[in-house]
Amino acid sequence: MLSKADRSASFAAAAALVLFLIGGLLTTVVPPLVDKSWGRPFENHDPAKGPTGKLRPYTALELKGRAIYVREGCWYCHTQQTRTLVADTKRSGWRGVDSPVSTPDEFVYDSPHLFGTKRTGPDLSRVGGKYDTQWHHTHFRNPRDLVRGSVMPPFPWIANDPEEFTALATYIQTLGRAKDWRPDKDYEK
Amino acid sequence: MWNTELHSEALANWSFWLMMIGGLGFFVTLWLGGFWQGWQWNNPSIPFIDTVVALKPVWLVRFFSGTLIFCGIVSFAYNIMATVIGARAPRESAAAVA
Repeated sequence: MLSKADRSASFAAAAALVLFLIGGLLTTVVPPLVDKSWGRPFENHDPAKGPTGKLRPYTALELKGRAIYVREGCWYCHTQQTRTLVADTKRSGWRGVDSPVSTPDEFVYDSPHLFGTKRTGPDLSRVGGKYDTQWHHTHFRNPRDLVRGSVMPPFPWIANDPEEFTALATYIQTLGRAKDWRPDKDYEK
Repeated sequence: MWNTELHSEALANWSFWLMMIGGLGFFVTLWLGGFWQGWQWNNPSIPFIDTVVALKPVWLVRFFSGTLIFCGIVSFAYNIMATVIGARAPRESAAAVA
């Protein structure tokens, strides 16, 4: 069979394609079929099994904020995924507490998902409750007023529109809140 | 294909070197900048904003390299278009005479 692949380019190409297809199916389609927890919303009431909490569907206001997040392209620069790297859990963490790694069951109501691929800005998967809403208002008006050296563009049309700002801020404050991971409910509102 | 000489060989050399230098600029900055950024991200004691500020010179170089590549591609496209149009024109005028 190997010598056949040596002689026939089309056989070699077809075999490579089939192998690639098998690998692709094993990494994309099979895992959620084997592990059913991927499709169930996150819920845990036992502190021994890690962070407790419950994922709930988005409210109408949060969905509106999410649509603004998509419309303004926040996801071009901000990811929503704490990877399995120590540095990621520390960066998503707060006041010395490491954040839990993102799991599939936290994104059940996210359609389309907003994981993003490029981190020009910081990851937002655990930003909910990190800053208060007044902070976000000032930050959207001009990020450099709060973060010197920031390259995020200002969004005055959101900061100056109370309806849009409230929706977006409400959505942002939900990010990563399904897992109640901070001790003593140390969340900003 | 059009049985003719290139519109301008000098311009073709310009296209080549513009894309070559721009491409090298991109290659070096993406490679080194990527390593640098990843290394900084992996050290949580470096605040995130410092990793952004550190990349600003890299983005500047990429802007200029990208401009070079863009000029190279535009000049290449112009050269090819001019070659094709130049090759067609004489034949069409010949057809008009006949």
